[in-house]
Amino acid sequence: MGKYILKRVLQFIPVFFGVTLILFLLQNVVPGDPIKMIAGDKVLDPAVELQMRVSYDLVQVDENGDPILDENGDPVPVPLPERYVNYIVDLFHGDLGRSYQRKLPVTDIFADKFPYTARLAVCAIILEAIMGIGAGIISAIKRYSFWDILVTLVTSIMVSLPAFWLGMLLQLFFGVYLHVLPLSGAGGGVASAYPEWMYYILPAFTLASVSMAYSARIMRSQLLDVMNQDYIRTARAKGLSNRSVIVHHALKNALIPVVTYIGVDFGSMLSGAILTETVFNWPGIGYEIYRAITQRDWPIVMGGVTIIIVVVMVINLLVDISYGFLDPRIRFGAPKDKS
Amino acid sequence: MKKNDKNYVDLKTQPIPEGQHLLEVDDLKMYFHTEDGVVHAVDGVSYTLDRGETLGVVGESGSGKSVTHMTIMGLIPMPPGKIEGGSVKYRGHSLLDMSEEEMQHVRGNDIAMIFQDPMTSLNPVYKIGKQVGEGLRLHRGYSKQEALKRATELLDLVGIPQPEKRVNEYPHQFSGGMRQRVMIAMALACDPDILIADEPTTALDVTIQAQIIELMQEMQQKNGNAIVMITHDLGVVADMADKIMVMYAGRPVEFGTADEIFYESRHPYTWGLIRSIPEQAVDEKKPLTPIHGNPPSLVNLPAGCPFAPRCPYAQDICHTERPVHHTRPSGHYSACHFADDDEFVKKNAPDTSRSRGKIATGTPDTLDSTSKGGEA
Repeated sequence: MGKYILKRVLQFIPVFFGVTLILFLLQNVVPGDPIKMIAGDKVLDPAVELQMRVSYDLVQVDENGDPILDENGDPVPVPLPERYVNYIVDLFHGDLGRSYQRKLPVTDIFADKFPYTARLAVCAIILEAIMGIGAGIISAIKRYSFWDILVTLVTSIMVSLPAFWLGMLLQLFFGVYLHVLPLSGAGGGVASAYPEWMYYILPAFTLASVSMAYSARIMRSQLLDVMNQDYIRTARAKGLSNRSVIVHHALKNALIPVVTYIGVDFGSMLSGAILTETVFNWPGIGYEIYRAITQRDWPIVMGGVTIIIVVVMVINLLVDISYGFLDPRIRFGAPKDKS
Repeated sequence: MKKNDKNYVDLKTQPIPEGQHLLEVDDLKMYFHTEDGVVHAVDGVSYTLDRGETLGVVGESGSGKSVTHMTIMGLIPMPPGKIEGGSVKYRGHSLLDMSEEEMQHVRGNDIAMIFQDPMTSLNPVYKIGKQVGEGLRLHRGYSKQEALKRATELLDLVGIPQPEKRVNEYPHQFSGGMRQRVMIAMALACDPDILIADEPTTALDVTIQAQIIELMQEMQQKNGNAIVMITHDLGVVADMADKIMVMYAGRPVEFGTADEIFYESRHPYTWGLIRSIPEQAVDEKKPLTPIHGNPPSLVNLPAGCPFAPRCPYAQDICHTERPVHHTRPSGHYSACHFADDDEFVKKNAPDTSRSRGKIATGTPDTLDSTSKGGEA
């Protein structure tokens, strides 16, 4: 197991450099100059602009910190490879750079935003696990019953509804018409009419909706599949009741793929849900990255993506390790059913 | 636990009513009602079984051997299955009239079953000890420790080396033969009266097959349980069965003692099965004699004898009239219109003086050696 984890951690390295490199190259291809965008519609004074480029290490400077100018009097940009190396070196010192727009260190911004995303992700994943797995089990056990048809119908609708549209419908219904839930934001304000936890309900449901539907479907098909296995017949032949057969013999086997799905999904939720956070004006990292992209605020985009890579890779590793607890064949590194 | 249920009576401890057998299956019929029509999966099966006896149930795939016994165990989902008639009596109690809960007491406790494929018949996520001891916890109210201890003893009993260690291992750590031993240990955990073995050796290496059969016989001698041995291989039952039922298209076509089936068979289908036993030891150049054609669809059975389309001796009556059981005084019955025609039987029955005994175990009996000598 230790060897396996080490191997997986080593696999992080090429993925990490690959993704950051691609992103770094992309930011130089996407139109829109970040420094010019800071000024918005106004025309920037060339001296000020040059000063800003210096402060963001975008142009080469001499030993006095003054920008080096070429024969035309233009500043010489720092070559791309050098900037990438600088970025990586800073990263390993815990420095993700400074936001162009907010003038704040990127690490501070994400330290502020990440807890919102994490709390929302936890709420959504709990909702997804309970409702998805629960609906899947009911649907499989009461196959072809009213409940099964209901679950199939509702999951089909949920899978096909875009998250932002579902979010807006929920806002309209619960927030505007019924006035029972807050429309947007994460609460915590002084004049808030609702307790803080109520702010989580709609975004968490919206965030979980599609994957809730998928996990219900995976659960249903897995359970139906497992119920046809020979060892289920063995369990019945022992005299176990239907309930015992399902609870003790079928569920643990059927859960393995569902746990994988939900685990990987948790990783993607932790990396911020841009659509959900935007619809609900949620101060998480997804919304922050979305805003940064529109403003070409590259340090935030780079920093955000770097955080996402690490989070997703760690979660995936944890999911892989968790297989071992569910499936002894993986825990003991044995081949599946050699005969 | 069921043991704590005060209405619970262990049927095993009850006497068999006077004049009855341990298990009496009488004209059992179970049909599947599917969209394609009614499948006559079990169509009038009758036999009796006593303690210590072994019944061999032989037939091709799809002849209803397994389904019959799944029906007796109450393991067929209803619907689509439906009991259409007949009775199954265990120690005088009708199994077909029992509630699902009562049947749960019977399963594993009074009648246990082992299955064809030991590779897939054990739950991959639980330790062997838990799976073997599960029945004891359920039917006898054993504690976890007691069940584990007994499971270890059972593994030892079925010849698994280092049972203390293996009891804590998972199925994937066992070979096929060892897993089938585990299945036997599991089935015998509660000392059942009847062990139904559904092709227990089909998925195993030939060398392991004989070991598993020997083990089952050994256990039978110790416990005195009855065995129902379901197989498509006449050779497997040849030296272990007391009685043999030959099934075809959901019906028993012949039933009798092992000797009656092998030496005095009066049904052309049984003859075909006997002729198709490999006889390499006798004559390596002699080709196998197959039964031509395929078993009929159980949805649209031919009007007469279901075997008639494949039977080389079929007459007009065979295509129009379903044969009844022609029962001889010993209880040996054959579902063939000509079963009572001694001349017909004498003319067409295979020379069985050397057909029996070339079994998986390979032990030649006296009869075989004589006939071999005679031919050489």
